[in-house]
Amino acid sequence: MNPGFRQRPCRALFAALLPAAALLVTLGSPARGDEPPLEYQVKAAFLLNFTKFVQWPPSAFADDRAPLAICIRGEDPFGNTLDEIVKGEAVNGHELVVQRMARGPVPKTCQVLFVAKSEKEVQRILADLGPGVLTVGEGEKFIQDGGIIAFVIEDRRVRFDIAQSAAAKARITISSRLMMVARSVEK
Amino acid sequence: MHLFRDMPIKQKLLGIIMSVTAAALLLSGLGIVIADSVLFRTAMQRDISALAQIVADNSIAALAFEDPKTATETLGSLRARPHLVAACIYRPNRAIFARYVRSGAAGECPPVSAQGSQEDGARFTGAALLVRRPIALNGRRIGTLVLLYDLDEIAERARLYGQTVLVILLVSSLIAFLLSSWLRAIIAGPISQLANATRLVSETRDYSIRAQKLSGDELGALADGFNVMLTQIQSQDSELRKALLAQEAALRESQEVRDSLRTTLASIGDAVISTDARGRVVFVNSIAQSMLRWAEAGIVGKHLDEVFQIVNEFSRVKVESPIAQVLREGRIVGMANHTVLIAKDGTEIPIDDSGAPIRDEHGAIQGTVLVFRDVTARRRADETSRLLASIVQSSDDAIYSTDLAGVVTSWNRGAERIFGFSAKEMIGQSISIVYPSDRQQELSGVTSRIGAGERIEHYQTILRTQNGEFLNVSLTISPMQDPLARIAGASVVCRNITEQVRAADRLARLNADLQRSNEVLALTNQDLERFAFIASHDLQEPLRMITAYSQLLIKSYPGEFSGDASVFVGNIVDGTTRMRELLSDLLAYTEIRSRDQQPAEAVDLNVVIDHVRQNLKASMDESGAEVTSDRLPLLRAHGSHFEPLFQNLIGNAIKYRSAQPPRIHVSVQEVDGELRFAVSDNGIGIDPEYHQQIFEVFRRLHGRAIPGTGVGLAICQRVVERYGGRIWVESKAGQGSVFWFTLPHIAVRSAKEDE
Repeated sequence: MNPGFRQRPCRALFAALLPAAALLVTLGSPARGDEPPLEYQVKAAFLLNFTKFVQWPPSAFADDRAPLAICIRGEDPFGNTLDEIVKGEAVNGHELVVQRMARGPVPKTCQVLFVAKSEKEVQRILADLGPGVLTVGEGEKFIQDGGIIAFVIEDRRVRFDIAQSAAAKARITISSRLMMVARSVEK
Repeated sequence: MHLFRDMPIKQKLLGIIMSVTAAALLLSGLGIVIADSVLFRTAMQRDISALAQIVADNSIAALAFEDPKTATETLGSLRARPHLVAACIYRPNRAIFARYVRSGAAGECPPVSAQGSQEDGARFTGAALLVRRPIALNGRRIGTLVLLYDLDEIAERARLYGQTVLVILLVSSLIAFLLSSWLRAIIAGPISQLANATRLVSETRDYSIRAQKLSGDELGALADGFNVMLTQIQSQDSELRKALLAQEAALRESQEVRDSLRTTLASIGDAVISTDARGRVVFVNSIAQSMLRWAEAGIVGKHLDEVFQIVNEFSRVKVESPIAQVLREGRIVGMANHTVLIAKDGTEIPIDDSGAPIRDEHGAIQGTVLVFRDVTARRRADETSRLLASIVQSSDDAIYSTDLAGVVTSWNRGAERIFGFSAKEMIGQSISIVYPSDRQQELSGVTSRIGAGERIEHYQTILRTQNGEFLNVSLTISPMQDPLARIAGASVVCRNITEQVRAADRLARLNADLQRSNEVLALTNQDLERFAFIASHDLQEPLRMITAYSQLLIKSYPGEFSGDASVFVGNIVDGTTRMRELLSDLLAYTEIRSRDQQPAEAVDLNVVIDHVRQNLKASMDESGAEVTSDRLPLLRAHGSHFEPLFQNLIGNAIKYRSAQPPRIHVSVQEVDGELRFAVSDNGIGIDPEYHQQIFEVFRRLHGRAIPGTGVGLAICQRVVERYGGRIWVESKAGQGSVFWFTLPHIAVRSAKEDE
């Protein structure tokens, strides 16, 4: 538990019920203690929520009971937040788990790959991925690099763009509802 | 309700159809509206809940990714539901995440009281439907959707249904109304036809009328029953009518008999009273009423003796009513003569009467009938004829009658006296025996004229008496009629006028003699007057010569005559002067007649008197005479006549005055249509012995002492008589005189009118 996050004693609830104040993200504001900035708390919640609007091809999972893994490549900006959010969460019977990796190829068990800012060779990382992985990165360039969902900051709010072609290439179906709330959807 | 009950069936049917239609429509309309609003609420609830579900689902992503804009857009799509007042999405902490409010609506997002699934679902609040729905992501509630939906739609639908029902009601009413006429024909038609038949039967009592059977239902059966009933009534009615007619005829017959008897009695010429067996009056006819001076109502029921009182005309003793005798003796009783009925008002009427019993078929006396009649006229006729007979008998004239053959039928005492034949001798004889043989023709002429109905009056003829004397008679012969108004003979009134005829003959002879002597006298008189006129006129010439020469003699030889000669010559002059006056007066006297041919003129006697005063001025002054006069009338006459008249009368009054100065007054008055003048004086008067003589020519009472010609009063008389008047004097010696004269019919206006 993160004692700094005193307003939200229940981390599980926090993911679903983001307070309005949390939307106003002050970029570059220093994080207090080991707690990530508000921006990444929101992004963590979004990551979790993405899993609920996306359908993976059956080949993405080893079996029905296989966990749904959210893999983080590079420097983890979320701290404990993501772990707390996904704890106990399941999508279609797949338990959510968080895996972190510094380098090396992305394992086949990852259904969601978050590419942190720290990674320089994004294109290469993405090119090495097989189908059935929802790729999430930061900045508009991530889409150009071949990513599916890219977090962007707009009006000091966390938004995201979606590249449908990339999703199709990865054989991932994105719910239209998700696309509805995306900032822009690249076909 | 009474109103409806009395309405004709046609209208009742219409009313029933209309009200049933209206009630059904209204009820079903109401049911539909109620059911619809209930069903619609349910449907609406379901519908809005489904809508909420969709909206909630569509809002999950927006909520999950903090995108109120997209949520607001999603809510904005609800504009398509105009009845949606508001749609709101709340965060789990009850803050509003997104909202939609219908433009123009005052509605707001309702506050969410508490978080909890017990408030979820749909419920109706007041005028709105509130739907609250959780927004969940993977079974976790991430927000709440609230929809506020107004219920105007329900009211709108109710209104729409109401209008539809109303329109249907109107249309169906119209159709019902149209249908009703057809229904009327089916139901009301036969009923009103039956009603009409009933009314017709009761009005006309014509039971041969039948109702027409228009249908085979109960109404048709009713018509059949009605017709059967009518048939029965008809047969009964005709029987009844027959019986009634027979009864009426019998009644009328007996009524007619009674009426005719009563009418006979009422219009009979005699007075009729009938009584019952006790003598009480039961009937009295109008003649009896008028004779008794008593109205029917006053008489009927009274005993006859109270109203019918009779006495003996001479003895005044009350006579028993014949009815009493009839009732006592049971036979017809005639009344004694000379009975007088005393009416109610005391009038006495001589009557004849008789009474008779009225018997029923068994011969018992039921009553009496009294018949009486006024015999006043007969009595009077009897008296008149007696009077006439006595007049005829006592007449001095011969009164007799003959039939058309000339046979004498009556001969009165006068006839006996005049003709010498007695009535016994003459009656049955022909009247021709009194006609002389040469006048028999006349008799037959008279008889034929009478036979033609002519009446001959004052027919003068000569008849012969028994002893052969002939009499002058005047006959008045009238035709006599028998009771059938045929001429049956003649009545003759014969007056003996023999003496009258003789006297008339004598008178005629005397008159003729007188006429002749008058004519001779008149001729003589005319000759005399002509002679007097000529003489007096022609004598003037030699007289003037004598006068002229006498005066010439005196002038030529003045003082040469001796005393006697002078006196003689003076006497000659005096004599000629008087002679001239005398002749002048005579001329005037004769001229009065000779001026008849001149036309009359208006003569004002007042002017004449003034002239006379002037003429006599000298002698009036000398004698101190005073001449006064009334206001005198204007005459239509010759002016030259009246100046000598008044001058002579007034002059005489001055001349023959007494010792006193003369006072002379001329007055006039109208007596019996003529003017009577008076010239009065206070002179010496005239002895009555001379009152006639003084008017004769040259008659003078005094000698030379008082000069005069003796012609003056003769002139006066002549003037007055010339106008048809008279002149005379009233006087006594020494007491003054009044000379009167009258002038008839010549006044133009009277003295009084003149004033």
